[in-house]
Amino acid sequence: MLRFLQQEIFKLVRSRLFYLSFVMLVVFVALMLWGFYTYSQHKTGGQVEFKYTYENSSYFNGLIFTLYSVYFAFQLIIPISVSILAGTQIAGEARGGTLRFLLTRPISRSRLYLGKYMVSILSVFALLAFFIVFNLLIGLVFVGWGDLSLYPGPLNLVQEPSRIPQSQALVRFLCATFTGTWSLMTLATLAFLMSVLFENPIVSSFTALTLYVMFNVIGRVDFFVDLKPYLFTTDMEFWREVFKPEIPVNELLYRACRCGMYSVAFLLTGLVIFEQKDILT
Amino acid sequence: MSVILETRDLTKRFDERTAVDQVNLQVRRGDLFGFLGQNGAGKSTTIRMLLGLVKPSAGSISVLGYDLPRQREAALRNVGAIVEGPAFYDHLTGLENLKLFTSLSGRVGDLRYREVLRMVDLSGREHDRVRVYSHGMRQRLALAQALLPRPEVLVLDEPTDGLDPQGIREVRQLVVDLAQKQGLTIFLSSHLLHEVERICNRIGIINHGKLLYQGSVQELLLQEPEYRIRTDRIDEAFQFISTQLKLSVSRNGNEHLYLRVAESEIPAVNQSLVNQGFQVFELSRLASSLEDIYFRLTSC
Repeated sequence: MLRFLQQEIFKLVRSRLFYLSFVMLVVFVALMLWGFYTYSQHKTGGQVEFKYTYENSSYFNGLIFTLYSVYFAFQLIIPISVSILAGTQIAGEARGGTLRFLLTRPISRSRLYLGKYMVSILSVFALLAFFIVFNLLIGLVFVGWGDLSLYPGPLNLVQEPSRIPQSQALVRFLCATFTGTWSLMTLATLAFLMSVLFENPIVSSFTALTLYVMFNVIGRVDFFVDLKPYLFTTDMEFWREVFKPEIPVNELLYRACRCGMYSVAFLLTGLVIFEQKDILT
Repeated sequence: MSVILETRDLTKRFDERTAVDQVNLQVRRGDLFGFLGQNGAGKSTTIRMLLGLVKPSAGSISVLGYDLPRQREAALRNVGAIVEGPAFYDHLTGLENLKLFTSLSGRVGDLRYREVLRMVDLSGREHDRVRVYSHGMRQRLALAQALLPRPEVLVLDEPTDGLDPQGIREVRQLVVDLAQKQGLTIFLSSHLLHEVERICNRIGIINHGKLLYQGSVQELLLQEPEYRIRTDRIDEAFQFISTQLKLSVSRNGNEHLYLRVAESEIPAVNQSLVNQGFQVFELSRLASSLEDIYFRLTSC
C-alpha cells in the first residue's frame, strides 16, 4: 500500500493539474491583497461607518488578512480546487485509459480506491496548508503583524469585539489547517464518489461542485429550514470555530463528527460501486 | 498440455444485449492462441472478463488455476496484458511509466528494464516523455509493461492496431519469439487474419457473442476444402450439382464452379458429371485461407 501511495503521490506532483490549484490560490491571494489595501484605505480615510472595525488601529494586519482570505476562499475557490483534485482521481484515469492498465495488475480494487482517496485527502491538506502559510507570509510582509482582532461582522465569529494574541492566533491557524481539511474532506469524498460514477473528470468535478453550491444555497434559504440538518454542507463551516476566543470544543467535535459521517457514507458508497463497476473505458 | 486459461459458459449481458454468450474457451500452456471476431463480436468484453475488468453475468473463468473474479489478484500475478490501445501518463517518461505500472506487480531490477526495453526496441528513448512517442512506440511500451514482471501468460488485445507495416512485422516477430523462445502462452486478439494464420497454432472465432470455432488452425483449414470445377455447359452443370447431387455449389461468372464437399465425395461427383455427359476440364482443390473460412463462418 505504501508503495502504491508513493507512486500516486509521484504521479500527482508531476501533473500540471495539481499545480493549477496552487496557481489559482496564489492569484486569489494577490487579488485579496489588492482588495484589502484598497478597502482599508478607503474606509480608514473616510467616515467611521463600521464602529467596531476601526476602534483598533492594528486591526488591518497580516492575521486578519489571512483570516478573511481563508474565509472568502472557502466560499468557492477552495471548493473548486478540491472538487477538481478529488473529482479527477478515478475519472481522469478512466478517461485516459490508464485505469484499465492499472487494473490488469495484481492490485485489489479496494486498495487502489483507498490509496487514491488517501492521496486526494493529502493533496487537500497540502493545498490548504500552503494557502494558509502563504497568506500568513504575504500578510506578514505586506500588511504587518499584530494580534487577531475579531468583531461582529461578516465572519460571524463573535458577538462582541475580542482579541486573540498573535502567538495564540498562529496556533489557531494551525488548527484551522486540520479542521479545514476535515471539513473539505466531505466535499473531496463526494467528488471522489462522482469520480467513480462518471468517466469524465470534468463531469465528476462539476457535479460535485454543483451539489456543494446547491446545498449551500438551500441551507441558507429559510424555506428549507427542515431540510438543513440533513445537508452535508450544513456543518462544513465548523472549521471556523477554532477562531472563536473560546473554542466550543463539544460543538466543534459534534459538527466534525457529522462531517466525518458524510465522508464515510460517500466513501463506502463509492467503494461498493467501484468494486462492482465494469471497466469499459 | 495443461489448460491454463479456461472459460465455462462465460456470459456477459449489458441490459438487454448479450455481448458474450456461453463461451467455452480453452488455452493450453505454450499456445499462441488467436482470438478472432469482428468489431462488437465480443472479443474485448471476453478479454476484459479474463482480466477481471468486467464482471461476468454467468459462467466461470479460470486463469492459471485461479478463479476469476474471486481470486483476481493471484491470477493476475503471472499475467501481462495490453487491453485495447496503449494508455500511459503522457507527462511522465517511458521509464517512469514502466516503473509505475510494474511496481504494482512487485519489484523489477534495473537489468530487467534494460533487457525489456532492448527487446521492444525502445532503448535510448526511455527517458523521453510519452507525450512525444509515436503510436508505434506507445504500443511497444505497452508490450514492455506487460512483459516486465515475467508473466507466464500474455493477453494482447489488438497489439498491432494502428501500426505501420514495419511495426506490425516487428510486433509479430516479437510475439513469435516470446512464444517460441521464452515459452510464454499468448492469447492474442487481432483483426489481421493472415497474421493470425501465420503465427498462431490455435484459434477461437467469436461472432455475435458466440464462439463459432475453437481449435487448431491447420484442422480448420483442412476441415472444409473447396474444389474448383471447369466443365462445358456450365449453367447445366451448376443446376445438376445443386439440384440432383444436392451439394453446396457456387459460381464465379461463366468460368468455374466452386464446390464445398469432403474429399471422399469428389470421385463420385466427377463420375456423376461424366455420366451426365459433361466434359470435365478441371477439378482441383483450392487452398482455403483462414480469411475465407472466417468470412464463411461469420456470415452465417
